[in-house]
Amino acid sequence: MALAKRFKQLDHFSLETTGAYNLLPFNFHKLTAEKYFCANLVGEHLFLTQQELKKLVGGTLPTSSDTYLELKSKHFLYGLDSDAAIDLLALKFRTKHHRIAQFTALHIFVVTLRCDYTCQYCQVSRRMEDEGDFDMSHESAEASLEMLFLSPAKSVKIEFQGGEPLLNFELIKFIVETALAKNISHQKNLEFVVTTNLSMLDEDVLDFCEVHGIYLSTSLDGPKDLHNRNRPKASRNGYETTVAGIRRIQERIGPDKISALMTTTAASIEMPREIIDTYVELKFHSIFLRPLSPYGFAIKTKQAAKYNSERWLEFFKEGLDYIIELNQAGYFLVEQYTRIILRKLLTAENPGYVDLQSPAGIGISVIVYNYDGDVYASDEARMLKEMGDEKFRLGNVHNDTYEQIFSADSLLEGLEETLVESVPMCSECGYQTLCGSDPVYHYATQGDVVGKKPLSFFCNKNMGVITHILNLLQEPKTRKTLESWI
Amino acid sequence: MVIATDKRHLEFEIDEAVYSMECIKKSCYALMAIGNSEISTLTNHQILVKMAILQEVNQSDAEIRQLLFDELLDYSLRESISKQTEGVRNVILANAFSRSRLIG
Repeated sequence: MALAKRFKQLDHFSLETTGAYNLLPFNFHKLTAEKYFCANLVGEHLFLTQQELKKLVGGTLPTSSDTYLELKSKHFLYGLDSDAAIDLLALKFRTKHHRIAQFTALHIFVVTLRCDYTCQYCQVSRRMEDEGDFDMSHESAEASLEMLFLSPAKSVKIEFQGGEPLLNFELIKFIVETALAKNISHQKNLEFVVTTNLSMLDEDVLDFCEVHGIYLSTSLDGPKDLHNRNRPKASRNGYETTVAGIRRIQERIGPDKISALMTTTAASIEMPREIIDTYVELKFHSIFLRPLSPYGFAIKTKQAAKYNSERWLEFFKEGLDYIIELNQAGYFLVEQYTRIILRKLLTAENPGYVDLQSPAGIGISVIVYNYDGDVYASDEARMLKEMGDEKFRLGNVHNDTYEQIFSADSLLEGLEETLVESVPMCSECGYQTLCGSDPVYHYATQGDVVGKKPLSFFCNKNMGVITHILNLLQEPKTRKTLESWI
Repeated sequence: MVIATDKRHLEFEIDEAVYSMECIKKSCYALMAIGNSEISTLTNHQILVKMAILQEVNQSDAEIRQLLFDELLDYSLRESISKQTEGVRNVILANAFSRSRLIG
């Protein structure tokens, strides 16, 4: 019987049987001349020698060998006796991708572009403190909240960004209270975060954050000289203000309510240990070793071009080794990027980190409501806009519907064209399930949402980081430490 | 086989019976940070790769040749896996997304 046109013909699904077993889809990455990391469709993985890999693909791997049994149990192949592995793999694949239907989890409100700092690497092209035209209005905030509650996601995080968002604290209060009131009928799991430099922290802010369980996130680049050099503040000592704010929040609201992020500049890259020590002194238990993003003032001041991926990887490896050393000496400290990759590698969970997803995180994991009501596909997309490129502007909360915004060509094309399962190199990369796609980054750096991966900082960074983590996991004591981070 | 080498231009003649055109293209793509490749077909199923090595690259000619043939071997294994698993991949993806409301 002929099938309707929308269905593939039956031979599209034919299962060819040759030899003593059949392969299931998998990718591999060469770690050394002899050692290959192999991962299947859902990220189950193992290491093979080149000989074992050749035998496996050639259909000559002895079915009595331990390697065969491990490959069978991890769904790299199935025997002639049963094809149940196919259904199991399909189920796991479906589970892994389940969260795609539960979009969008992170909603960023840019409540003002004004800022009291003049950071050389600022990615959002901040405005002076007194430029009131760059504040979000109540109308834009309300319209953005209307849109937020149309998201299918059950758990939603509202993140306030700037500029310095506390310069528009009244609007933050309005958004939190309005969101909580609306949520009585929507019943989503709501969480709030204020990303702030802490210079405007006062009793009112602390009271409000305490009452509503609001998290605060700040920037801390390392020791005093480095922090102040990276993040200059006219008339005041930024480092002392930040540290005092961190301590105040830790004591008043709780140590888990404040976290910090660092950005690696050319000055930072020589001092990973000193940066980490600063976090330990402040009793933080997590640090995120992040390279500079190539947007905004980071481009204007040429900060983004001052080191390459190889140099950044040296910094990362030295830092991670030191963090492991500290853990083994008794101080629990997690490196967040490593933790995300470990969770992808060693658990069935998808941590939903925006930069390490396929389809990409734009729109699916994050959406940005800018101060003027414009909607962007990610934080980096609005940074790009501040540089004059509106490629990833999806619409405006006052003029466009939710459907129009989420079916904008720039979003759908950006997602469809950059699936790691279909782009050059990524489609056959052994790290595919650990990595992801970043169309905005590749558009910003190469003028193309897919990007040429051999020339990409993003690809080189992730290849280097993942390979380093896989190597670290080979050493039992280090593995135990890393497993404690998951 | 390296058949001709000048200062920083390498030429490789590759037997298409051993490595497919697809594998050769993918390998050259993967080595884009080493050099720009121009691929052409010769007679007798031979494929010629002319690679202009980028100025900042320090590897020797022999090391670059090794890198290319390592990539070729890896991509030919990947090609075999892909051919052997095409049908089952389609079954898995069809099963995974059936009744998931993720496809129309």
